[in-house]
Amino acid sequence: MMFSQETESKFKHLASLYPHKRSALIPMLLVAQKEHGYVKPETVEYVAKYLDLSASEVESIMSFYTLLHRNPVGRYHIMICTNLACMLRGSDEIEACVQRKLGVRFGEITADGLFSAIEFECLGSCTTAPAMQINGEFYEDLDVRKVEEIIDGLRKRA
Amino acid sequence: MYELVLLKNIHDPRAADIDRYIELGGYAASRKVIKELTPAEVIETTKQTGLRGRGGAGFPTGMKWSFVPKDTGKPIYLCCNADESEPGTCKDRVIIERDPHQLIEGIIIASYAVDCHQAFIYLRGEFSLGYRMLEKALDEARARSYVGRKIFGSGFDLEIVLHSGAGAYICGEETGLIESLEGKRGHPRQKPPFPAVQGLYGCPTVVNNVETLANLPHIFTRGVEWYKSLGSGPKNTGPKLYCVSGHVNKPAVVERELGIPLPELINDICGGVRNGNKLKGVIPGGSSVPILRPEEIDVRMDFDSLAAKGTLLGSAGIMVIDETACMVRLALRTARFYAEETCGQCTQCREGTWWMEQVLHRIEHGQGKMSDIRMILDMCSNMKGVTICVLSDACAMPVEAMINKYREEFEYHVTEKRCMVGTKSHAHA
Repeated sequence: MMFSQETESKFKHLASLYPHKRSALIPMLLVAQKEHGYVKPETVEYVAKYLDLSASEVESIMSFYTLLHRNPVGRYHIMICTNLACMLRGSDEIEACVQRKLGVRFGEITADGLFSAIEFECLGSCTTAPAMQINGEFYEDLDVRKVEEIIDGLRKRA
Repeated sequence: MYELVLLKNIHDPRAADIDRYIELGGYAASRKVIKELTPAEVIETTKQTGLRGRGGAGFPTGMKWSFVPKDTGKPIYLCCNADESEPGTCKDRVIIERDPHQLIEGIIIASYAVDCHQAFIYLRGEFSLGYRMLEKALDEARARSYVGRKIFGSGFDLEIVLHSGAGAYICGEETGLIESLEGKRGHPRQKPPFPAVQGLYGCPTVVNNVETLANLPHIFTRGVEWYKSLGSGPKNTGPKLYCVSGHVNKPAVVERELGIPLPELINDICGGVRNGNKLKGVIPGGSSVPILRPEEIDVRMDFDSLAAKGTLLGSAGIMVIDETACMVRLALRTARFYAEETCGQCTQCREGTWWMEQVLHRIEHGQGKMSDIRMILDMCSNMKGVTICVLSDACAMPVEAMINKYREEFEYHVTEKRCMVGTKSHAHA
């Protein structure tokens, strides 16, 4: 069994929601990614078959969307907004702080597998800038001290 | 004293619960619309208010609905554009996260107007909290038969599907959104045919922004005359959300009438430029629009007043920039965004955004030539009005304005191979 019962039933639900089941493609890949941390090659095959698409077509579509990962990321995946509004409020410092704290560069995973971080486009947090997301949750009005506390907190929890 | 309309519930921590939302007067408007009005009356009333789309283009909402053909025998779809991703914009997120029922009511009213029985909310993939809030709100509305079969005990059926995107700015363009919702790459479509005639699955489709839809319950509660009493003129009516970010003392999502003077927003409401710094410029409508110099900011924040100043209201993402920021770096960051987000279909956009980033990068890093500045301006004019969608224009317009209005900073980077900010020449510029 490749997916949990829960994921399977979500697939079934998603494929039933739309007049054309192909519309469920991106939501299904997001659900699969939630279970595995990234979209595995087997997932591509599986979802393609589920929706009567070819695997190469699914690959092509996937490559268009930045939230779909084709390679593993850290257990905590940090996306730092570096667009204009955050840049004006000091996202440079946030970026430097995250890389220093984690000891890796953007796109890499820490040796313990806990963290990865990337620069990201506008997150829609402009009036609470600078901001970042970790596993989809917002962290806003950041400064260096706050970022250090957040990362230390997640390390402790792990 | 301005009385909040769209944001009136957001400080009530329970407003996202359907019971509380109803206590606050919620679902009365949508119920009344469905039980007492015909779809034609809903369209006519909306036309009379002068409501213009709040996603950026400012197209009259009632008119957009009236383009939907009724006799094709095909289903009609409504897509709520909740893919808020224009840099500088964070207004729809406030409604989605804190007052989701207001949006659902808007969707009910719009769907009824165009005879749509299946609506979709295309939500930005990054909005995880928003997803949970809308999912819960939709479940609550379904349990009360406000969504689903025979809503409000009428003969009208409406299902609303919450659909998550996965990170692509271009899916906020309405035909890119439709392609993405069909399970494809979000490549904008050639128009015509417009979505009203041939949209989702080839059927008539209306795409409306979150804030636009959130206006509807208030229109049908308080009426056309009340709505038209807000705003700066007959073509710029109603309440408006402004996202004021950057170098102000109190950044905030602010609601006021459409057409509030920009200086009032920056100085009186958001506390002015931080640290008493000198203002360098204001981007008034998200990263896609031309910047205003300090001497140009005495303008009303509405569609037509900003157009008269050579810029756009756009998404009302107002980014305030003080003297500490380097305009070359801002231009580079802007170009980099569009180079990252271009879908790649059109040559002018795919190549133009990428080259613009490369050339700005070398100017920023002291390796530029004077001819590079002219070359970028040349590229800008070749990128406007020539592509399937306006992403290409959205890169060219702001970069062109930054160069034309702050040319001395670009030239300083070329001749001195460093940034002008903080130098003596900058203080006198």
